[in-house]
Amino acid sequence: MKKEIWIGGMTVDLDRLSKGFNVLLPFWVLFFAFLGYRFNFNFHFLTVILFFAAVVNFYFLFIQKRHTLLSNFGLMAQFRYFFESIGPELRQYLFLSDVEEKPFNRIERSEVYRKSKGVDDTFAFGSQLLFNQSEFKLRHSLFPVSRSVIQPFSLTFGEERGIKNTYTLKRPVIISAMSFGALGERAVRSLARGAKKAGILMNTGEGGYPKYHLLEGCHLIFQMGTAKFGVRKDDFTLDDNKLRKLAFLPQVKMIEIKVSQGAKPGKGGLLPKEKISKEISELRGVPMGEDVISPSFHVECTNLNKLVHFIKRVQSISELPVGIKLCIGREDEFRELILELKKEDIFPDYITIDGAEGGTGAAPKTFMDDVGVPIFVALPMVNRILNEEGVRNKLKLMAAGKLINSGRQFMAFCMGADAIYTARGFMMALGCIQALQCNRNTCPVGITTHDEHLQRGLDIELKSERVLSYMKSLEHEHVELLQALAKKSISELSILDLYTEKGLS
Amino acid sequence: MKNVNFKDISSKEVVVSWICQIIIAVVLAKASLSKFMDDEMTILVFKTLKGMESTRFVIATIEALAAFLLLTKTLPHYGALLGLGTMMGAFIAHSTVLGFTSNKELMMMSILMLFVTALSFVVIWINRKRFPFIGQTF
Repeated sequence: MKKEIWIGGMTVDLDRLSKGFNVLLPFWVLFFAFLGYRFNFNFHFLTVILFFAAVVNFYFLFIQKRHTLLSNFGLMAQFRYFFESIGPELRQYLFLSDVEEKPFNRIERSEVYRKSKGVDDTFAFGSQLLFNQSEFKLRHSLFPVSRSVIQPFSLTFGEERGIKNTYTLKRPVIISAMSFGALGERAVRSLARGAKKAGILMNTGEGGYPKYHLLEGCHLIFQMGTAKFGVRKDDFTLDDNKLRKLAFLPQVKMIEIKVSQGAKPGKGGLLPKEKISKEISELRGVPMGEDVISPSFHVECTNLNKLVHFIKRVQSISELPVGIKLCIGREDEFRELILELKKEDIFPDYITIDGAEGGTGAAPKTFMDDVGVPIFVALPMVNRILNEEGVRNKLKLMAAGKLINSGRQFMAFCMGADAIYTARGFMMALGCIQALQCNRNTCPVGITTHDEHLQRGLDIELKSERVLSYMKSLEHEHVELLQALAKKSISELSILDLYTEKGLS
Repeated sequence: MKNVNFKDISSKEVVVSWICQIIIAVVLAKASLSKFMDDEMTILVFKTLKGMESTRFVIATIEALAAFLLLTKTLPHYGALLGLGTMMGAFIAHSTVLGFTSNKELMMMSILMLFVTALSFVVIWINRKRFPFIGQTF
């Protein structure tokens, strides 16, 4: 609490003010008790209220020891906690400018909102971004091409291995991994129904049997995290039969082994106990009332060779395209992985590079802020290593990490990505207001909560239309960008189509 | 404003809280009804208290509200707080004007008052963390 505040030319000493308040409070109780006794019994309404306040104040000042501020200033210090608690809302609604909020500023969010609602998403006068600092820009051509020459997107996974069950992606954007658990039932179903309508692929996240993802009939990537929920034995090792059973579901088109995640690289998934309902506990095979912390690595993958053979094992069991997802830490380590893949002649069907700026339902702040390489550094590096080792044609490359708008998505394509993952973009399409409460089961728009009351407002049919609209708008802009860059397809994009102050090698 | 995680309350505490809530709600609802139904004893009590004749219905409304809140899943702590407040008012009335044992009915009311006060404390204590701001400091 600040010692002094300045109000309209008058300085108020908060120390004195609270001391005065604390001393006078019991006297106010007695004063109103006297008025109630002597003149009118109705004064006792105030006697009772002030008596409660005096009791709480006494507790703060003389009994509790946990909060120094309350010990020193009593009830008045609660004003600080009150204003601190409404600070995020005040900043978001009133004080922060359109480009200041994190992780997504208001301009970025409103762009997604407009796209998902299918309303005008043009802005006026000029860019709000700072142009005098280092950044990426797409290089347009002097001679844009006409729409008629643009080729439809098509990307086939598994073709490099010549497997029977290849999967051809028809839209370049995939709904990134979000499990039932991280999201509530309605959010999962809205996304899944939207994915079905838009003809896009959806990743199940590492939440075990994807009951609600399957319900809406969209195509799925089943993600297997380090805890292998839904496909594990008691000792966290892979249960081949369970995986085989899941992989044979007609909706499951690919399998993804999550090695690490951008928001918490080097740590396993985390589902806070507040979000573990009876159903989630059953689907994941975990107890209720405890945080679920997945191991930080797959128990089968303790070195490069074992990891490579684990990929092979999953490919053999599932008979589907199998990818791995990781956040880049050390460049030399990634090169060693590629060399090991080359040596064994085993390749995943795709690699997803998750940037350190990636989102999550819950993660320690240090890991979110300070661990892992951001996507626009990691992606060109990975692409370069794959090319240098001559294996770029052996697999597909996907990118994830704040790629919510077509501009950033195109930058990722230029840096080598074949397809894009975004989770938060689609969450915003559902109406996410960035309340930053995903880890507390209190999401006010009912997306990352299992509270029935909070989920009530999430209309699955309406929100699935928003997903469709967002995807259509992205696709429309992709075509316009291709025209501007004079390219016929996304696969023609390269690093040369990207401007940066220092240049990317 | 941040919400509070309610899962810190054990299942035993939930059961105890609900038993207390139901008892208090019944007592308060009955007290409220008697005020609205112009019960003779109630009219007499409020006539005795200076300036309270017309406040009878305000108190009855507060008691009814408290009884309602006590039977909700998410707001019983506010119901208990309102109940405790009305009981404190009653305690002041008994200790300054009405007395505790001058007749059989008053004695009954006093015993009921102390009983509801104790149960309200139990509900408030069990659900203390639900109170915004202040709750987290207890």
